[in-house]
Amino acid sequence: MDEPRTILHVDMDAFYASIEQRDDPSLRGKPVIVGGDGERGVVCAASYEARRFGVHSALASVIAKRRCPHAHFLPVRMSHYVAVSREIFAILRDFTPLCEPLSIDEAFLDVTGSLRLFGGGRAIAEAIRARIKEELDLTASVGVASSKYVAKVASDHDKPDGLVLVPFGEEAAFLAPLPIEVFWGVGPVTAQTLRRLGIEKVDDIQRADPALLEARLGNLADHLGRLARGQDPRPVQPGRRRKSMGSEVTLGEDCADRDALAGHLARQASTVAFGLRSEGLRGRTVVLKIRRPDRGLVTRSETLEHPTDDEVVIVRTAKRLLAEKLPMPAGGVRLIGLQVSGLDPADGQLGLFGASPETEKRRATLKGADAVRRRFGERMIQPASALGHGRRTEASPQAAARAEARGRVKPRPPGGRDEGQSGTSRTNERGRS
Amino acid sequence: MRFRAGCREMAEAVGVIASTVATRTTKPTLQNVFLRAEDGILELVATDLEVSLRLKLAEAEVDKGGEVLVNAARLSAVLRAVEDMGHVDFEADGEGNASVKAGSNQYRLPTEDPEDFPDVPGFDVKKPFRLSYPDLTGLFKKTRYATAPDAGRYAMNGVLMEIDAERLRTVATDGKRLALAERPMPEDAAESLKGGERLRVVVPPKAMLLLERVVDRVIREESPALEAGLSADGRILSFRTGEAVLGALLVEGEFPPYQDVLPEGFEEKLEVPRESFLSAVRRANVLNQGRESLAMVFTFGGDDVEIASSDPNAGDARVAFPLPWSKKKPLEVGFNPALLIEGLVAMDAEEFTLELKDSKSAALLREGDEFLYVVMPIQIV
Repeated sequence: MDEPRTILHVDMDAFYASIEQRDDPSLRGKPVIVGGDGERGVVCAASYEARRFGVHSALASVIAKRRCPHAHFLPVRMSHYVAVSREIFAILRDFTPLCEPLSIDEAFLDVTGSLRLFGGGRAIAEAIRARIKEELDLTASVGVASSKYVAKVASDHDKPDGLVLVPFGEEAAFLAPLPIEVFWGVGPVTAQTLRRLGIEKVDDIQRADPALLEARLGNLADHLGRLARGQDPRPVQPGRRRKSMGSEVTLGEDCADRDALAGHLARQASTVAFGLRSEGLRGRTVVLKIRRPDRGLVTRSETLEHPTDDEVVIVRTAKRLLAEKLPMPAGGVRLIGLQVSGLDPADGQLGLFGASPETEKRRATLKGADAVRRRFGERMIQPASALGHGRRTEASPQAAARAEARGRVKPRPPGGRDEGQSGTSRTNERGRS
Repeated sequence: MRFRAGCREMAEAVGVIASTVATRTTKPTLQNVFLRAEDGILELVATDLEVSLRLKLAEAEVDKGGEVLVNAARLSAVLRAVEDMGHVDFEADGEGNASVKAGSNQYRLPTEDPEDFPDVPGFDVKKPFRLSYPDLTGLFKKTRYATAPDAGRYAMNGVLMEIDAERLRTVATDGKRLALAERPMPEDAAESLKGGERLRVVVPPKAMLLLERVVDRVIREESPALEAGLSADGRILSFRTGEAVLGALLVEGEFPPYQDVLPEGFEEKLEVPRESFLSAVRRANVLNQGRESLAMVFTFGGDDVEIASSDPNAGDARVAFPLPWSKKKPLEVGFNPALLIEGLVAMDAEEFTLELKDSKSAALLREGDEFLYVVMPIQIV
């Protein structure tokens, strides 16, 4: 084995909910739930105050409300979280370029090469936490260890606002008392199998007869054995790229109205396209996804000639898939979503003949719209065809205020839009006040 | 109808016909070959509505005239299977069946009524002129890969062909690179174009591929006589060689103003050995798995140019290639490697001239006076 590495796992605490509490001090110390609050809404994030009542992400909002009726329910402000996330990653990359994002609020850092400069794993972890606190007024939990796996377990060990360092050579001892669920790849079913073998804690695996484990668990035995000793040779991969970007909504009630569904798609396309442009990406494949009332999943996809980050192209493709490729399930649709995959960085290829005046006009329109979205929230600018749809899952006071603002947006007549301008409607002056 | 033909000749002709028919079409009748036997002559016709082909098979012995439609792919498969069997007997019973017999093999194919088959014109042109076949195909080979896959603002999904008594020129571009090839008109061809005749048309690439296939597999001559001309309405360019007539529906729309973007030439001119440079670019490209947006970075300076490619997922490549740079200031410029490779492959000469200006201007690759390749860089961030 090579020299021991020093790897950090940085994980923001209740990311979306913490941002909402930060932005609205009246919410601090109170249970905050971010997610859809319609009949079928789902929790996206819960503050620690809400978690005490058994609320966690992916829980049905209806149940969350029952468990924590006094919680503040807020809609998801994805573009805002993305912007904060970018600032966090900028801080992390100040410490090492070897930064592998796992999600919007989580990353691995290999700081082995930065140790001398910044003075040890703990010092780096403290410096990162301090900067995130000072510059963004948010808290992060950090795990420091010699491998990705142990660092991840460590960051979760003392959450929120924790810092746990597992010294090289003490990985097995650190893991020993933990329940087997900490293992990657151990779900409820495997956990049950293990329990039947009398294995409850990592310690039990460390002491079990490898031959017996092998006989009972097959290939998994080797994997668990190595993890139990804290061995995880996977490198931190800074280039790990996002593979797709999507948006979906569980509908208030099953819907068979293609126009209404197309309205949802229009809104989702604008969210996804904005996300792509924010990250400097373009996608080649548009995937339409629906869930039937019986929860069966149906997807249809189309690959474009040229990668795109333009909602007009995305929604046109998605609507075509909806109209031509998707037989309407009996009873309608329970969930509708769209995804763009085959992502690549928007390249800097220069053209011989320059961009066409129409293309340039379109890029300028999108840029202006994005600036408004960044400043006033993503919902400020919506495709006209999305108006009147999909508000069901968010009904907070803020959302209502925004809905009112939207009501003042003048929709274009159907079919009256041209390629260059698209169906993006503009906010009026009041939207800026 | 009833005729007998050599298996191999028939298989080759129907093979070419089968590559003409529409593969994906809303009109199923276009997947057929139209067979017509008349006055002792057998003719095969196919079209996808953009390109059409009429082939007369002189060797066929027609016993009984008639017209019939047969699925081209299936007939081709049958003939391919029996191509070593000497001769084939074809007979259509006029009731929806055709029988194909070769040696001890017998096939029945369903036929269709030729009623719905579109009208395919013959060599029906205003002012025919002669062309040198090797010149024409040579120029197309040097340019046709550079077309755009579909029409955008400009008609870039075809090859621009400029013909006058002096020269034949082809140009293709997809907006990122441009290939231009030209040759002087041979005397006999120039003769037929006298009178200031000038032709400027955009030809779909499929038409030229098909013309080559006809010549290779049916005409079987290296330099067959070739005539061309425009239809009366100016929408179709037709070629005639031997007993074959090929019609190409021209690409409509405006070809981009290519003359405006041809640089005069740059100060920095490098003489580059083509094969070894191409192989260096390929060595630097081994880790790139088809990611077009990935720039290959060329750093000119000192005695070697460094060719570097870097993909955060796949890894990095660095290749040094001896190419002295005379300026003090080094130049770093990025290109889509696939575009460079295509241009280098299209050349035949041992050396080419590489002209550069800066990281935002096109690179010019010249092969004598015959071929010019212009590639725009990718901005390096």
